[in-house]
Amino acid sequence: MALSATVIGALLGLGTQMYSNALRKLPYMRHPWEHVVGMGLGAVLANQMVKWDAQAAENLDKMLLKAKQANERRYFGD
Amino acid sequence: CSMIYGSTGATHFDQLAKILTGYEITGAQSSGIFLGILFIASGFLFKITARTPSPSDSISLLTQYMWAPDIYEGSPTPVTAFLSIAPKISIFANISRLFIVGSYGTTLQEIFFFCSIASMILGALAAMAQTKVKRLLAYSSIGHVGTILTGFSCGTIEGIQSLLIGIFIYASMTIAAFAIVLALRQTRVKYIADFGALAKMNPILAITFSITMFSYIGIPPLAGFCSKFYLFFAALSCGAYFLALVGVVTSVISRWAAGRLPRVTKRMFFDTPRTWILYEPMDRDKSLLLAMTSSFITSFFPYPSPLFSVTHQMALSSYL
Repeated sequence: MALSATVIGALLGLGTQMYSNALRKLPYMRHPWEHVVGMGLGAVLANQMVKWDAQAAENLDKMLLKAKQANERRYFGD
Repeated sequence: CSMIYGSTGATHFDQLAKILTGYEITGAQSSGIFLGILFIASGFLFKITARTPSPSDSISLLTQYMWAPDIYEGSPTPVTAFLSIAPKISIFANISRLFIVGSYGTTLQEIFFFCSIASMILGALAAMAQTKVKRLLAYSSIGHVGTILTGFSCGTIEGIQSLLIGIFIYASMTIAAFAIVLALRQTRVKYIADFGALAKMNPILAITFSITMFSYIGIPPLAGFCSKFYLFFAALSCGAYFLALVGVVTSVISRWAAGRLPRVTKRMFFDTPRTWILYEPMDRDKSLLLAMTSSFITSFFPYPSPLFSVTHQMALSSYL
């Protein structure tokens, strides 16, 4: 999972930087260090996004469970 | 606000919620509270450029959208870009806060229901006659605000969640659209006709603009489609079938008849301009911003779950 997130993030980052160069009508690989920065940022952000998604799903489940228990106490407690 | 305070004596949301619930349970009515909520809704709708239906627009005081196209056209483009994004986000957050605690019968929900329909219809039909880019974007945003108001019309947690998703995606699409207008500002592009032969001058920019427009009108698999799909799905879940039908019909109208798709894309790819515009290179900030927003618009569809989870949490935390 981490490998696929890293690869996809790196590809997205590389693609974004190449897209940015293409918009400015420059060669796609002009200033290649920017592509490396893009790949690195993309990989990091993709991994963080996956972790954040898992955390958000966990928090959501806890919230729903809490609400369900509160409802059961309110309506079935007596 | 002063009318609501005068009728209830409360300004705190929790106290207001208890008082208004009491009114609802006992079936009592208060014209002061009703008018207060109506005026607050009117102010909010004015700010988000929604349209309120009225028997006759010529004498109506309730068409709050009328300032938007003229102001969008007349203001400097960075100001227009800010105006079309930031106030809408803040006002929608404000409305959602008030909507949850300020429910007096179904007053607010009914207002938003009809405003949503009117805004969607206006946004689709009025865009047909536009020849200027910024006015087209203004009517496009009016139509999109109508679509987003569908979330409030539902009155459910799913509706609020779909609204939050819609706002986020609308913000990224609008940033992309105005970044393109800003990039072309130096070449004095003002009319849709000035887009002629943009595909020959800068094909990637033409493709980016096409993708942004496709996303605005809800073509899958772009982000705009996800936002509209979820909003109309929420409307169907709560039984607002007519609202969902109007949304789908207006999306189809804006796709074909209003011409955001055929007109602008045709101009860029197939027409020759009245006067050839010299291309000026874009600066790096704009190109990066455009690249990032376009990447988001195109890559949202395969992995929407982070946004869905977060917005679900936000909607639930408002109600619980």
